[in-house]
Amino acid sequence: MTKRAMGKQGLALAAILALAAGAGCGPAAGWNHHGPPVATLRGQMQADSEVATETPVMLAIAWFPNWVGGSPGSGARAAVTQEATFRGSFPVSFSFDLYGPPPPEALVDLAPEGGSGHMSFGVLIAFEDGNGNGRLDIGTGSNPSPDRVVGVSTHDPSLTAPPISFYVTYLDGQMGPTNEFLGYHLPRGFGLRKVYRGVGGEMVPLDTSISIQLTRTNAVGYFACAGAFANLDAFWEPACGIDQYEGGYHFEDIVVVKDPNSPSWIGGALDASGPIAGAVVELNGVGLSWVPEAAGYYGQPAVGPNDLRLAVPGHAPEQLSFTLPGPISLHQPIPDTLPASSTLSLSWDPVPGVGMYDLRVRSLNDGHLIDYQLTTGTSLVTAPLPFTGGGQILVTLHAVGQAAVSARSSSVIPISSVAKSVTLTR
Amino acid sequence: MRLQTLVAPGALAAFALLAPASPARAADSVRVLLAIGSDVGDPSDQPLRYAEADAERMRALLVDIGGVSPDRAYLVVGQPAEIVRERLSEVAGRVAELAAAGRDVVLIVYASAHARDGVLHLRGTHLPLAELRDRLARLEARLRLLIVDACDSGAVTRAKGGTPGPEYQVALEQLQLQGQVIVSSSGPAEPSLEADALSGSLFTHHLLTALRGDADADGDGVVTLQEAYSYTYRRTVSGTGFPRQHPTFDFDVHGAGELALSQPLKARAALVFPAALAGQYVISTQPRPDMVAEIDKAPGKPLRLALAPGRYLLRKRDGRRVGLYAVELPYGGDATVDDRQLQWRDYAQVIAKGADLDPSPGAVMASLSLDSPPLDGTGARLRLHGGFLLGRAEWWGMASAGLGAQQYRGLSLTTSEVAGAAGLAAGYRWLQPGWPVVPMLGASAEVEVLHQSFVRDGEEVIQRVFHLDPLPPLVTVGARAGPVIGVEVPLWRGAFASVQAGLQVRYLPAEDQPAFTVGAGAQVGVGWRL
Repeated sequence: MTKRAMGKQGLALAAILALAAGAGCGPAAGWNHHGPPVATLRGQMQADSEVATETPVMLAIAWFPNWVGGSPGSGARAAVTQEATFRGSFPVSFSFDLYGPPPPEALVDLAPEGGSGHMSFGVLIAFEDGNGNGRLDIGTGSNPSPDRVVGVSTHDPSLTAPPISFYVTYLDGQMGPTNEFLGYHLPRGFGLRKVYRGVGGEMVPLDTSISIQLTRTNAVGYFACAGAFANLDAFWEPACGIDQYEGGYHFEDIVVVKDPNSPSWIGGALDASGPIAGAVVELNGVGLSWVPEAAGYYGQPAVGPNDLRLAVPGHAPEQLSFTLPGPISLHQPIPDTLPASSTLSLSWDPVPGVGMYDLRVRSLNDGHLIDYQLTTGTSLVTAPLPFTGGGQILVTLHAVGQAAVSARSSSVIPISSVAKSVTLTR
Repeated sequence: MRLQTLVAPGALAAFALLAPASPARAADSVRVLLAIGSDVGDPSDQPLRYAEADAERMRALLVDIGGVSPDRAYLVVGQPAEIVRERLSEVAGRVAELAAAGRDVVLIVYASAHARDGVLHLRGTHLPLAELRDRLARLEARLRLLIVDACDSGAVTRAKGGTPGPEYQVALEQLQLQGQVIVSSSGPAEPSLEADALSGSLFTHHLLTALRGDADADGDGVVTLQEAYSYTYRRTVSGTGFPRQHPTFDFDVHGAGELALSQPLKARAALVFPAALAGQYVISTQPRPDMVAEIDKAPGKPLRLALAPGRYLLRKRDGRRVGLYAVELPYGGDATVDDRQLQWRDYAQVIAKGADLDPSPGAVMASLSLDSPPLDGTGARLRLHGGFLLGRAEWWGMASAGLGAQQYRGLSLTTSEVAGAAGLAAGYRWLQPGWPVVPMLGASAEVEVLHQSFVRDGEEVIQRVFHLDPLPPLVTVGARAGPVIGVEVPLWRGAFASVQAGLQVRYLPAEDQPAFTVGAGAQVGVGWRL
């Protein structure tokens, strides 16, 4: 090689090295590079007994855009997963980093209803990576996922709902004025919704500890199925060959007392075929009649202790005892009219046996939720109430009593309520 | 039957009618060759240096353009007389088989060794040339050609009883088609010389040059025995001092026609001298400077010189200057000599540089490389390189720079990578005349700089909704080194193709993998010798 050639080569090399040094060198990013997380979910995984899994448990979010309803967007798949790196000291606690928004197919477009951006709801899923590909695979058709789902952040449909469960929300725009979930007050970005057993929920800070019960039933595999909740009018139907009720039935009803002098109640049992019409239901020794229009049984519980006996053909009978709270005594009546965009303040006397109160404001025009709040106290102030529809809204305050749960998957939540329609004025 | 012994080429004019002009002209004609060479003679003989090499060259050339198929080309080098006799018997059997099958057999026997008093000296044993001649005479080949390059080899004709006649004396118009021809490199009691400058014997060197096409006096693409002998005689006589070496020619044949010894037109590769060129050209191999041919090119007639594919150095003397031109002869291709491409050097400089002389040691190259992923799960890398290749005899070195761009998916983002590299490589190459490719072995070392930029899935949303900044680009400096193996394939003129593969020990600091990894790569390129 000539000296001239060596000189040119040396200069080129020096230039490259100088460029590299000037730009600041560091380790190269590999396939797993992701930058800082956009959100982090934390929590604990819990099991009834000591969990000693030989297979590592991973986490994923399964998004169900059709839960949002209204504008299903491109949600041809009911369940869309979003993997993220899991690190932590399983089985006690976990930290789950999210490095971007949900995948496009998991999102519902809010533009058709007058909003902007997208939203979706999802469930945190703990699973064992059955095929070793490092991600949660979604079952399709009648085939379940090759991965084994061992627990979910919401409730296992084959078991009694846990007192508290969680699901994840996502919103990157603005909901339209009539969005069903307007009253949820979803934050932009990721959000966390805490759900109280069968009653309702509230948005909680994203760093709230999430509990995931490792139930390890076959039923939880339902959440890793593309057909899960695909038809919300028949949500009980099996998907991916998975029976949510594992051959059993599920009785979960809410006793709602609107008129203290004439309590009424509709309840029913479900299995994989839908509402069960042939069950024998007795409330305080009185047989309840089947109401086909409501796909349930009608009865009149008494304020105070009640006894419910249930006999579903093919299953052993069971019994639940619950206490129906007394009526809510508001300090000031709900007004007939309110200026639009104003707030409504309510206060009431504590109701014996009640630990939580639930306020809902809906549009009487289309039923969409305008405001939804929970409190363990005895007063609430609504969010500013916008004029929507014809300006007719329904304000409902619930006093939620102690749930009665059976050893099976049945539960009853007794509630007394007060409701009034209000006219919003411009 | 007639027998004549000739010492001068002019007498061969009539021999042009002896045999078919083309080795392949007769459909059922086959040629059998036995090439014998022995550097070592008697203990009292000074060992020869090129007798065995000459036998190998003769075999290679006759296989290439002499119409001899490789399976009928026997080579016996460095063996004693009994082994040569065994091989002669084997050849005799082969000839008999072919003749029995109705084939028209032409047998060529070439022998190069020490000799004295008409006896070949083969590793301390003796083989009388008369025995060789007589054994050939008994074979069933239609035509038998014995070429002996040895001292005193003219004795073989004398032993047979022939007497050398005066130049241009013999009329051959009545000759028959079959018989035996003997060509010897020297007359009786004459030495046959070797020349270091030629890396061979004087006689065989000129005979080979003749057969390559320089003796094709009528330009028909065929070198006949007459043309080859005339050429070789003239060059051999003029190339020796005192005592002069006079090749001899003896025949005992019947019939008419010509014996075509070679067909340069059918060569796999050839150096073509256009008609207009004139002067003395010396062609030698590279990097080992074996002289292949000396051409005294006269203007007005083109010359096609058959050579094995490979790299050659062409020299043309012009007073105190020497014109140099390195030429690649690709397999199955020709190269045309063009005086305008000669690089003129001072004669003294050329003499001083000797074997290291190379007018075009450098070449520029462009190549495309494909390397295994330097980062797990990110796919193979494709890069474009430019480089300068420097050769010095069998050694080569290369400096190169490369650039590549790649885009690959990560877990939740897309990475765009631009990589620059600069490297050095060096090694050994096998520049063997006749090989269609040049194998190479060496080692390479490279410094590379990786620039990675990232676009996350939903990047716009991440910045707008989550208020996060774009991910900063990363710059990483790494290195790699390892062995390379490859081949160069000469193409046309100074062009060549190159294929290389190598193993690499890589150093690349990375987030999720060890800094040191092992990879592999391959490179395909083209180059042009400057």
